This record gives sequence, structure tokens and C-alpha cells, in this order.
Amino acid sequence: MVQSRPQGQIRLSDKELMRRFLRGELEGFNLLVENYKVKLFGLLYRLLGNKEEAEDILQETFLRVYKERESYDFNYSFSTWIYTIALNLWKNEYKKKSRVKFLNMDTLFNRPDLHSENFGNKNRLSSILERAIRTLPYKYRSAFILRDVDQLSYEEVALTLNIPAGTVKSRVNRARRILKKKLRPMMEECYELSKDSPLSIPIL
Amino acid sequence: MNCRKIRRFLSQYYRGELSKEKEELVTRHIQVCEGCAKEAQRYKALNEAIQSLGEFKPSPDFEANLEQKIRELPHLEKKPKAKVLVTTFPSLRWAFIPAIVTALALFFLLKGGFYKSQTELLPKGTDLVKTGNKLEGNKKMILPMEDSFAQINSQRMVPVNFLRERKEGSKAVYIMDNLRFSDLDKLPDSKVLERRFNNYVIDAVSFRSVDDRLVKEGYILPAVSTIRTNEKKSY
Repeated sequence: MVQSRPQGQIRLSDKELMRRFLRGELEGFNLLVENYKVKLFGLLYRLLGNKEEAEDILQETFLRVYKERESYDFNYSFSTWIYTIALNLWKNEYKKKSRVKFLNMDTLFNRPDLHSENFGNKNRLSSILERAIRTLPYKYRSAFILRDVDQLSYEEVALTLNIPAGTVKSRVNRARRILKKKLRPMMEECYELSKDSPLSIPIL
Repeated sequence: MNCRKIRRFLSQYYRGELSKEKEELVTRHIQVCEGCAKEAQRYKALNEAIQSLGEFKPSPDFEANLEQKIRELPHLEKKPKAKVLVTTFPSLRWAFIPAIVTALALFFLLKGGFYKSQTELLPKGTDLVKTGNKLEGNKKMILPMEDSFAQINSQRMVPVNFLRERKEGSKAVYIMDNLRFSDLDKLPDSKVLERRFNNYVIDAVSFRSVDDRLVKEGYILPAVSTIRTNEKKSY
């Protein structure tokens, strides 16, 4: 049922895919899954720090889209809708977790995912950033990921998080400032290296 | 323009979020101010790190699992409307009304009313281990979905493992859900279940009212109200 896109097919807009899905063409739904699964999984994984949980919520997100397809409002972008669903599910999960936090302090402190993983990234700087992102408070983290990683516009982030665009801006900026601070030792190194020309390195 | 003002713009500078004028101001300033240039460099490095972030992919069987879950959903597709029949056979248009009335009358006469028919299906006190067999082998069944409400109406039994424990202060509340955990040992003598789901309210399940044998077998009596809004009903 869920298949990858056939070669050579023109990329259709999300709304068009949704329209097809509403007409009963399951292919529309499958393509939406294809288009959004990586983005949403990245967001959820970065928020939860656990792949299984992220995948569960991702499943639930697409199930909601499937079940509640009739309630989609074509006046809004599809991405805003699906991001909102995913984030609401995450929020519920987070609330549930925070209520029983005292029960699993161990898992909170030694999250295996957080330390043992190489994050599948190309270089050291990005894996340091990946770790730093996970230390951000949730309200800054969600705004930062949506804006800077997933590159939604400030307006889209505002709609998704249901907060004013101004608040999004300040949260994103706050997140950037925190991250810049956390990455500073590493960046200082980069800066010094780029500033000093090879000639200024003493040659013995 | 002073450094304090410039620094406020720096986080947006490399993200291309500044207006042309502001961007130029920053560009000019960091050419002459070493402190701000250093700070700008840090944001530049952050920006580069952001760009280099990798993708995370869900497991390869993600789609297969999703497909499976969709298959398990209560049937949501719209049924073909009777209108089609009426338009195909216009002469039958008026025959439908007496036909429906007769069918309804027969239904009520034979079954003794819709609600009663539900209770007769699974009367209170029947051997519920047997009658619950249908649910027993089907742990993935999603309860309580709107469509399956009729099936789990007040007299039906559901497996205990559909309950989810939730702490509210010092008291434990059990929520009926599509979950697989919560074992029998944790069941209290009498607790109230409360769960709002799609505007339906499920409340008041008294474990005392259930035969001990049934609790041991892993079944409880859910009290499901099919009334919308916040109204509660006790059973």
C-alpha cells in the first residue's frame, strides 16, 4: 500500500495529494507519507531523544491524517496541519512522561540514545550541535527545529505552535544564542584556524 | 550604530533574515569592529553546523507497520448511499418508505428494541470468558474508537490490559486505551475510570461490581457512555 514514488513522476503539491487522497486515491496518502516521514521523524526524534517513541508518534500522526482527512482545511498549508498533529501528539506524550518522571530517573539520566549514537552525521561539529539541540528547553527546541532545521517560515512556525510570530522569533533567537554559547569552544577552534594563515604557524 | 544593536542582529545575519539596510549595517560594522566580527564568526559557524545536520530516517518497516495499523482501523469508508438505488429505479422511490418501516417494525418486534438487543447479545452474568473470546485473541483492537463504541457498549467485557494507569497526585487512575500494559496485580478494588475521547465520556468502572473470577481471567466491565459532551453516567 505504501510505496515509493514511481520514477519520473512530477512532484505534486501537498494539497493536490490531499485532494487525491480525499477522492479515494490512496496513492495521494502514500506520497504524503513519503514526503513527510523523514522531516517529522527528525523533529520527533530530536524532541524525544528516543527512536522507538519517535516512530510510534510518527505512526500515530499519519494515522490521524488518515482518519481525520475530512477535517483538513484547504485554506491552510498541509505542512502546518501535519506538524500541528505531530506536535500535539508529542505534547501529550511529554505531559504523560513528566507526570511519572520520578519513576524513571535512571532512564532519564542515562539515555542510551543520547550518548552512544553518532547521529548519522557527516562531521563532528554537526554531532556536537545535535547533542546541544537536545539540551535546549522544549519551547526553544521546537521553535528552533521548525525554523532552522526544517526551514518553515516564521508564520508557519507560529501557526504550528499556535503562538504569535513575534514569540517564535524571540524563541528561535534565544535558541540560537544558547547553541552558539554551547558550541563556543568548538567554534573558537574553527575561528582561530580560519584567521591564522598557514604562514603564521611557526615553522621549525 | 553601536555594538549592542549590531549584536542583536547577528543571529539573523547569516540566516538571511535581515532587511537589506540592516544587513549592510552589520556588514560594514563587522569590518571595523573585531569584537563583533568574532561574534559574527560564531554565528556563521553555528549556521554551517545547522546546514550540515543529517537526516534521521524511521525504520525500514515503518510503512509496513503503518499499513497494518490502517488495516486495523474501524472501517471508515463511506458506504454507497441508497440514493444510487433510488435514481437507478425511480419507480421504487416510494416503495422504500414502507419497506423501511416494515423492516424497522420487524426488527423491534423480534428483538424487543435496539438497546435490549444489545444487552441480549451479551447479557450481564453470562459466561463472559466465553463471550469475550472475540476480544481475547485480538489484542491490537483499538478501543475506544467512535466506530467500535457500539461493540463495547455497557454490557460488553473488555480485557483488563486495555487499561492504562495514570498517576494523579497520590491516586492512580485507570484509563481505557489501546494499550497493552497494566497487569492484573495492579488492579485496585474499586477505582474510577475516566477518559474523554472524541467528546465521548467513559466513566465509573467499579471493579467490585465484577465477578472476581472475571478479573482473574483478565476482563473488566467497562462503563461506556455513548453520550456526547461532558455529561457523565453511572452504571
